Amino acid sequence: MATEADNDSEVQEEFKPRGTVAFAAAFVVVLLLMWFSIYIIMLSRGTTI
Amino acid sequence: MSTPETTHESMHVDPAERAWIRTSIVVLVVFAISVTIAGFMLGIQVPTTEQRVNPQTIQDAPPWSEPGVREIVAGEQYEVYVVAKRFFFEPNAIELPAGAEVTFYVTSTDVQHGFSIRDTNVNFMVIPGEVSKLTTTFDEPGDYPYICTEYCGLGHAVMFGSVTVTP
Amino acid sequence: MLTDTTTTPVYELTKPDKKFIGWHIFFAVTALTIGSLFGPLQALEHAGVDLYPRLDFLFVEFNGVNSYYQGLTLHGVLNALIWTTFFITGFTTLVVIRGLKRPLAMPLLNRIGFWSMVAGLVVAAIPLLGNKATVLFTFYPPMQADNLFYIGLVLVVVGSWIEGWGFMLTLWRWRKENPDTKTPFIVLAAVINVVLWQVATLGVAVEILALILPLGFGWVSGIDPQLSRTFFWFTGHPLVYFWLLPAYISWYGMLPKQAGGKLFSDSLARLAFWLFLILSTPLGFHHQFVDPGVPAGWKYVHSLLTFGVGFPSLLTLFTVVASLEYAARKRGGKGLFGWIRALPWGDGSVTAQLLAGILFIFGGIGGVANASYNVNLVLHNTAWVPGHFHLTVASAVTLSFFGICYWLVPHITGKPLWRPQLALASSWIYFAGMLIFSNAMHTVGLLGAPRRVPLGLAPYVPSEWNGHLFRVAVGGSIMWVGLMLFVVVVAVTAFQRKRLPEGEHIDVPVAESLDDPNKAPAWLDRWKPWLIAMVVLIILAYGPQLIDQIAGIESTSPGFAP
Repeated sequence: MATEADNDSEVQEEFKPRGTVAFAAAFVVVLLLMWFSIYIIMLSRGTTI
Repeated sequence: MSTPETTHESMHVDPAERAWIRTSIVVLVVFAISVTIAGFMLGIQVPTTEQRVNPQTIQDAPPWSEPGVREIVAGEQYEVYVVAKRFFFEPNAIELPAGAEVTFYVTSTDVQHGFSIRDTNVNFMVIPGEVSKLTTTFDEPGDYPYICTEYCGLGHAVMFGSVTVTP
Repeated sequence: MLTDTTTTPVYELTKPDKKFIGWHIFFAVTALTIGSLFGPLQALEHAGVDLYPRLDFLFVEFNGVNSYYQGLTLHGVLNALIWTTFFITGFTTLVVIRGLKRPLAMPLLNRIGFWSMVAGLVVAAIPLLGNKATVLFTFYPPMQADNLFYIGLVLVVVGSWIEGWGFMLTLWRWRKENPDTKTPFIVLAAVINVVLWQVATLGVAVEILALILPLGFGWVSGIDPQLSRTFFWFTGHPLVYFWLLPAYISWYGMLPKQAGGKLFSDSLARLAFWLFLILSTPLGFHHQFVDPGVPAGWKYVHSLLTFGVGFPSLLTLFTVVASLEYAARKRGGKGLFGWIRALPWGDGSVTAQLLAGILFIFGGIGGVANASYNVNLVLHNTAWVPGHFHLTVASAVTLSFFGICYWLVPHITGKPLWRPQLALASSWIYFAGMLIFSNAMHTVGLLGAPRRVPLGLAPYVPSEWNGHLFRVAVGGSIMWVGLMLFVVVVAVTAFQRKRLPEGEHIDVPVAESLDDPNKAPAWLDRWKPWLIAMVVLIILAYGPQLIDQIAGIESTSPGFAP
């Protein structure tokens, strides 16, 4: 937990979407892995021109 | 759209989401570049417009009156003409040598069909009135079934043929 | 379990309006129930258990259910076209009235629209059940169905247009009455979807009215199948956004409230919807990557535009997850991923939508792959494709609609949800079935299995597909059980005698946002620039090809019965 923001007078509860960042990062990894696995299947099946 | 200044002033975007927006764009650009490389440098292209034909009269004259394999350069270059009909391909058996450059021309005399050769990137729609064309090379000897991949009627499930690739 | 049981509703819909919405849901769920009967039959067929020959007792008045393809046509038309369109117009009615806190501007208009849709459904059902329209839900010419099928579809679409005019008119009135107030997000989003639909369906309207019906009536002797496909897919892609955006409306504008939180960013939610409006239509060639009659260059352009429409969906992922995280933290959620457990998983409505979202992660990834130009050579018309759209329309959309029904039906009937634990179970069962089914479909598709084929009959199926096809059957059957549980819960809820206790209401969950919507930039509430951008993009992306293909029309294909 970041406590440095607590001295900010106005903000009593600054919400930082840390979990969302982690979730999104995991998503990007899965996206890249799955997409490139299909891309590699395409490359392995030879040319079309 | 208004000027960027007013946009930034009035539109609050969380810094983490700002970073995500940038990440999203980078990821999408990576995909776009990858398909561009494969398409325009590595020779994996989608079909493009080839030729319009009349599905009712196309088999009156060559080459479609005698579909099959045409040898252009022995062992190196071939053309294959395939007619898709309910519910079979003409021809339904093709023999080709490994390593040769093979161009498939496929059309339909009735409804829409599909043409897909297993384990290759040859996979396209066959549409009456159009000629579909893709070129490929079979590196490995073996059997490569080609099947109809678009619903064409009650016999759709049995519509297939086979490419036999010899060493 | 529903946290929105209040004693003072913010704005109460009139009884006739609630009933009107109820009719939408009634026809939607009925269509889904009948259409889904065929799902497990198709799945079982793939594993070599063909029950179709035993179905001759069904719909005997019409000629019976005769084939796998007739079942597949009913499955596609009733589930993908009817369940979605009827549910969405009903849901939009609720969102517009409740969001604007004002009745419809011209209720009669909406009623005419709705009953046209019903008339269309009945007209189309006759040939469908009679095996005279076994052309699948894409009805590619020159394969021909009975004319009634197309006339029915036209009535459904025109009816949905008329209802759409009712929604647009209502918003327009409201904006006149409230010139200084920003349109509430859910209403803006719902009406954007309505406009998107009006524009998108022009393609299929032209296809049916200008090409298919003239052939059907014998006014012309042939049709141009390639041009028909181009018109069809002009509609075909935005169609999926028409299905999806109502689920997004719930995820952005309702689910955060149900989970006990707020919408993370109202401005970005609006931006996402505007981007969907302008980007959903001008990219239909990505469904035609392997068509012989479309130049590769245009396919490439549409592929790039499709990556563009991926952006608002990625934006949605972040904003929705952040909204949920906010809710979870407020509920005491801890940890980098542990907060997910703090969401109200005991609530059937929330759980259905969370599971829909999880499945959509994979649906979205698959969609990006489909749209990736040459990568489509690996996927086109393989079993991957139905595997994919069962994660989108049959999960992200349908499972979200289940979740919505779990509060909507109590809301409009004034009756408590029957057996909330069964509602919860239905989503989990459907989810589990879908995981098995879609994984197997994607895998066997990558191996080369085609879609739209009774693979139990196909002579070319290698033994290595069998394990996957067995999983298709298992997953498909489990999904059906979950779906039937949903139908039972909703039906008993609606038709039970028990009412909510006196003075108690189930309100529509409308989420507040963390940022102040009234501080959002004005261009996020202005229609004109976005409408202009939409039209310009469509003209740029479609104009040259439409001119080329129309100028080069060759109507040389006579019709064929299936």
